[in-house]
Amino acid sequence: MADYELDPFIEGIASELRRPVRVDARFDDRVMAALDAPTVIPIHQARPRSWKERRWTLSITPVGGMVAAAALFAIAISGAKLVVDSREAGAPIAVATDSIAMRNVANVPEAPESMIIEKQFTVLVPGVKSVALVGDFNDWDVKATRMELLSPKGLWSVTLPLRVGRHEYQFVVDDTLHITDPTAPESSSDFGSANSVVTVTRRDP
Amino acid sequence: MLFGVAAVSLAWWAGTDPRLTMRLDARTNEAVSAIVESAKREGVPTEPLIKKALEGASKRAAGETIVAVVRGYANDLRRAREALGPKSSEEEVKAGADALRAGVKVQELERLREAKAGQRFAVALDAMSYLVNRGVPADTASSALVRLVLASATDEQITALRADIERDIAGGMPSGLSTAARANGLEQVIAAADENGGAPGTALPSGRGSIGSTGLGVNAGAAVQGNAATGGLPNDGPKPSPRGKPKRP
Repeated sequence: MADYELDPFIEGIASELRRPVRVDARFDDRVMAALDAPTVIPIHQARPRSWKERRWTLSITPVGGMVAAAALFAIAISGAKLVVDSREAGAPIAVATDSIAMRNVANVPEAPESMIIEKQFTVLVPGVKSVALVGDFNDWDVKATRMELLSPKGLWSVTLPLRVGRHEYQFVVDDTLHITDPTAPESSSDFGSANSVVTVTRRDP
Repeated sequence: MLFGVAAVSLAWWAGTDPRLTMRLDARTNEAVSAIVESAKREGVPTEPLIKKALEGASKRAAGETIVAVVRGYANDLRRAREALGPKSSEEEVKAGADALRAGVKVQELERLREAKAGQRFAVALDAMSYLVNRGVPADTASSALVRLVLASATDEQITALRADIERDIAGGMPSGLSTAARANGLEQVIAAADENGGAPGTALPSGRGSIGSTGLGVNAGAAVQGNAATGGLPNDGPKPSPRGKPKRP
């Protein structure tokens, strides 16, 4: 440190700063012991990340990208078709029963045309093994709606949900004989045998 | 490869309905599917066509018969859509086609275009077909119901009207006479309600709905009781007398 004349005040501060710091004799030992402790972890020895934390890199060629885009397009078309088909089939918005309970349901001022009403069909056909209900509501499929025998005298019945509107139907006896409902009006059919007609209506409370 | 995948997707999109594939033979399926596809391109409802084909399959009709019936039905659906207009719903188009097949004239369907915006008439068209099938002359049924639609009759009123007419027929009244009288009575009820500011019940005839009160001078007999003339209590359709199936006049 160069000798030069200093203000006495500053000289006093400087001399204080120049005074050597007295440390514990074991200070050096403690410092060296701390430096030997394995507190620093090298990067290449870091804790391995789980697959969720790992970063993934995907490389794709232009042709591969076009193929992927076409596949996504096909999936989108398929999904849209499923949505359209379900809408055409008529997804019910509301369900109600054609019974006293329905009359107590909330005041529905204007039920939509897609409202579903449960309708019971009954027919008296004694001495047969099976009776099925076929109509425009089940694709005229004899396997779709089997009726239940309610009495030994041959009273068959089934209850199923129908959309509000006009429906044509028949009963199929023993999977072979098509008959109309004697209690319902009829409509001429293009295929020879007449169809029975039921008109399902909405109900006001 | 892009065009190939897209072509496969579109082919599946435009492909045959699986219900037809399962229930029809190959030749009939191909012909019916072509009719369905043509209808779809023209904006005609296709589900009624598919169900008509399935009806034929259920009844074990010949393939040629099924194709002919489906083709004819597709033409009726086109005519109905043209008559009712592009804003008509699928239900209305189907009901209109059924009405045409029952004998209603296209001109009557075209009159429904004059109905107020938002006025639905699928129920009226169904009632039209029903009444014609019950023996009501097509001109009488269509004229009466079109007038009621244009007068803004509700679906419930029309449904009740149909039930009343059914009861009249079951009671022995001529179907055409009942239809004309009941429809005229309901028209007057609607007009009276409108004159009274739309308040129901303020100017209605008696609860028995006597046709004679409408001034037609028609003796409807004691069997006449009506819901339609009193504003239309809803019901779930006709309930024929226990004597059996009503006979057609």
